[in-house]
Amino acid sequence: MSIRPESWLVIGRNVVAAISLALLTVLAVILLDLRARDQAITDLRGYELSGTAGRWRDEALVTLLALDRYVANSGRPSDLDDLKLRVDILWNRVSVLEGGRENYHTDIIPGAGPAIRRSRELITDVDRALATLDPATPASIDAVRQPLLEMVGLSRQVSLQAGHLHGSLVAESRMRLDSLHSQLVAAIIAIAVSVAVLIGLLITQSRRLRRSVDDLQVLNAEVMRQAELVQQAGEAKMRFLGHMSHELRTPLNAIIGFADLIRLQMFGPVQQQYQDYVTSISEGAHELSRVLQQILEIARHDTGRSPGKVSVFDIGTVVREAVNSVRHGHRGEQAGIDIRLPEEAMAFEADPSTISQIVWHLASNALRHTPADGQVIVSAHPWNVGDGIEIVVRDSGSGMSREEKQAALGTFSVANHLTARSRSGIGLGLRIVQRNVEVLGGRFRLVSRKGHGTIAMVRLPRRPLKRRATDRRAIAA
Amino acid sequence: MKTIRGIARALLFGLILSGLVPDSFALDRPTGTPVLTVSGMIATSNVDGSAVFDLAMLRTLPVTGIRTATPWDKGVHHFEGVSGADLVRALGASGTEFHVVALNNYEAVIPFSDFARYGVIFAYLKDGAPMSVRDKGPIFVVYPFDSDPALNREDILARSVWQVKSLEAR
Repeated sequence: MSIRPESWLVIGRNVVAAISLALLTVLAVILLDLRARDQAITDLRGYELSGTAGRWRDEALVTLLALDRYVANSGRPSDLDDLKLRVDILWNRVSVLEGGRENYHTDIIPGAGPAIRRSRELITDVDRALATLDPATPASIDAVRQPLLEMVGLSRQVSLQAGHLHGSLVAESRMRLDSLHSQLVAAIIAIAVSVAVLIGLLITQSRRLRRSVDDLQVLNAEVMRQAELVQQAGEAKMRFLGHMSHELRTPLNAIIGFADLIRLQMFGPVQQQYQDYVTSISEGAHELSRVLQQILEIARHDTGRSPGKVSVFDIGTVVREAVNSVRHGHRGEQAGIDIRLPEEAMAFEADPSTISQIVWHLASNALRHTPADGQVIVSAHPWNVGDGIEIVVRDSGSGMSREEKQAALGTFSVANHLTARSRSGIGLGLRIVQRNVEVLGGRFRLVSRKGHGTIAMVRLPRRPLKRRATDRRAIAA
Repeated sequence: MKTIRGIARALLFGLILSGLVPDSFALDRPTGTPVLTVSGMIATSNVDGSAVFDLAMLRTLPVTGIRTATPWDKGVHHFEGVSGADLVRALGASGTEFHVVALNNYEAVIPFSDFARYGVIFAYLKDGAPMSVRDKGPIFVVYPFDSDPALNREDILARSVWQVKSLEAR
């Protein structure tokens, strides 16, 4: 089963989304972790207390030594000065431990806070005991020594704790940094792999697309060729129909002419039976002539020939002429035709023959399907506040069923018309009307009920749309 | 007129540059308690090749102030003392750094370049009063921590020595 290029696109998009999401997650984790590391390193400064505590312990020890030297030298004033200096230094250390930055981190080191608070008490005790210090009185010496000894113990304890924490934090940081390093390497490898996969996908996809485009171009050329052939065939067909109609009309005219001569008994009397025959011949020939005329018109439209010259004319005049032509062309008894026009002229710009054809076919159709005691009314008037023209042909004839109407207005094609046999009820005229109305950019409506007559309405816009150069629909049909 | 004014300005500028501290600084022996001993590559001395200062002698040198907090104290304080640059000039020190030793024998090295770059001072007054040993006295090396956050670095913090006892120019 081959995968379509679009599916590759979707797969590629999903792969990109998944990889991006995974990478973003990894990067977010790394960033958060780095931040935590950064905080830990900042905190590490607090563990500098290990160094400070070491110096604190040293200072306490040095003070003890100074005390011992003072006692050993039996209270030499310079030794007392040195002892006092050492106590001052120790005092300063305790102050720094209490108020300096190390103090901000004492809570991290177990026991550091209480140790520092205790040291304040101890150094105050030492300071007080110094005032009564007598090298000959062991109790007064102990009053200085004991707090100092305790402070040495406290400082050692804090120093050890801080050193331990410092060491474990460094070790932990190192471990985390190593793990971050591995994660970063993994992320970089993932990026490289995904980029490679993506590039591969893109290359495959673009190849497939190119192949599809090539195939489509070949197909397109084939379709164009076929369309050309169809068009040529259609035109040839129409030309053939045109020529055929024309060729048939010439002998038909001879038949009509000679039949009339016989019917009128121009060269002597003819038996009644022959007269009836010849009348039938004449009527049949006239009907055939009408059909041929319509086929000629349709062929003319289908081969894309323009209907003629556009000029400005009066709709009323054209309507009147067309209706008269219908009247005179109709043989035998006919229903009455009324023409209803407004008094003022209705100027219109189009090919007058197109309008004339519309009126002629509508009126002729109506007349043919209306009995002699019936009535046909042809009217024309401005429509849509004078922006267009409406032509209405109304008859009291047999009317049309839904099927007949559909057949009458069916697909515009000579082939259809020819196969659908032009019965006397449905002529080609309605399709010609429909076609002409389309050419003028108007609308054609047919309202009819079987047995209740027919109303044909044509609405034409004042400024007709330009006729499409070639009507593809005719070719397609 | 213009020329005269220009010359006057130049003279004044020169005076400010060269002038306030004399190049050859006569150093008497200290009469009070010695607070600072400077040794090493210096041009001026008073005791056995070293320059020994009591507080009064230090106060004869130009006073520079820094208002800042420090990492070892609470609150902001006004420190005053002699700037490193003035001290180097006064003693005619010719090295590149001071080796600093504190009363508790803490040691650090301050490059002379810090003096020009940061305006380091050897402070002996805190909020107008002399500094006791119990409060980082008698001399405290102060960097302007508040005006330059970049100074909050371990190597710089290590140079901000309290209870300074002696300097060695080298």
